[in-house]
Amino acid sequence: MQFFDLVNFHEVPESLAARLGYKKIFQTGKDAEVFEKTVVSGGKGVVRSDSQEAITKGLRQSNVIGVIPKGISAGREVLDEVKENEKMLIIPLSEVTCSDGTSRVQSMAKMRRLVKSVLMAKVPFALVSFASSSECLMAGLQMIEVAGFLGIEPPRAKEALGRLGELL
Amino acid sequence: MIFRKKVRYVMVEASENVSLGDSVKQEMLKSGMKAFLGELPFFKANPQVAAQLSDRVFVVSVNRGYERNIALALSFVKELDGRRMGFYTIRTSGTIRSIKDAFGELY
Repeated sequence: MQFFDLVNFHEVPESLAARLGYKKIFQTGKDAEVFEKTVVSGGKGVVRSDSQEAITKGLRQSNVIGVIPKGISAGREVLDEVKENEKMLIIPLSEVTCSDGTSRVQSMAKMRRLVKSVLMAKVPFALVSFASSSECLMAGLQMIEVAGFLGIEPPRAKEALGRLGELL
Repeated sequence: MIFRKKVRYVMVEASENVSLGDSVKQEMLKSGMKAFLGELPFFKANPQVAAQLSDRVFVVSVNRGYERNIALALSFVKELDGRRMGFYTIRTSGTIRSIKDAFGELY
């Protein structure tokens, strides 16, 4: 099974991607756009917003592959929209591993809640690091372990790590 | 009878140059892992820096069955000696020789 990752910074060497166990590490701005408010037609991308309206509008665009929930939470409406439009929810794991102290505990709890609701609603999801710097990157093996820690079984985590490659 | 230590070796790459030659830095790394794992699982895993292969790559030995815990703990260690850095687990193996062979192929 081939794994893919999406990161929020530039200059990831290809040799590093191979060492970390990925076929490719996609970079925002280069391989995928991140739409915060409005979706611009053209290249493929993801919606990242906490506004329900922006998410709903974005998910109806053909060049949008999914949504990254801002603030590690997604309401029932967002999950329904994702399912209805046959998109996917993209779970950024670095928001848990790269936060510090008290905020880490809070983000862990939030992420567990999000994972639980995604699994219960049977929404298609992808796992990415969405790292903002090289220290927040993780190897494929680590991503599976972190996913397991959050309540995603390894076979599902592996499937979710490969899903981005089909769409980008 | 010869008793072999039942350990696994994990090849780890750091995002920045790191020298784990002195015991102070090794202890810093271990305390980072202990902070996440907790004392009992940490002592059961007993992670030790076994070798430094390059400026960024080193090998951690860990009791068999706990290598996944170490991979998880290393995902959460983001600082060493006051510098921000990340640790990636590249390969896990039963012998240090195969880790060195893999290092030769990958780097």
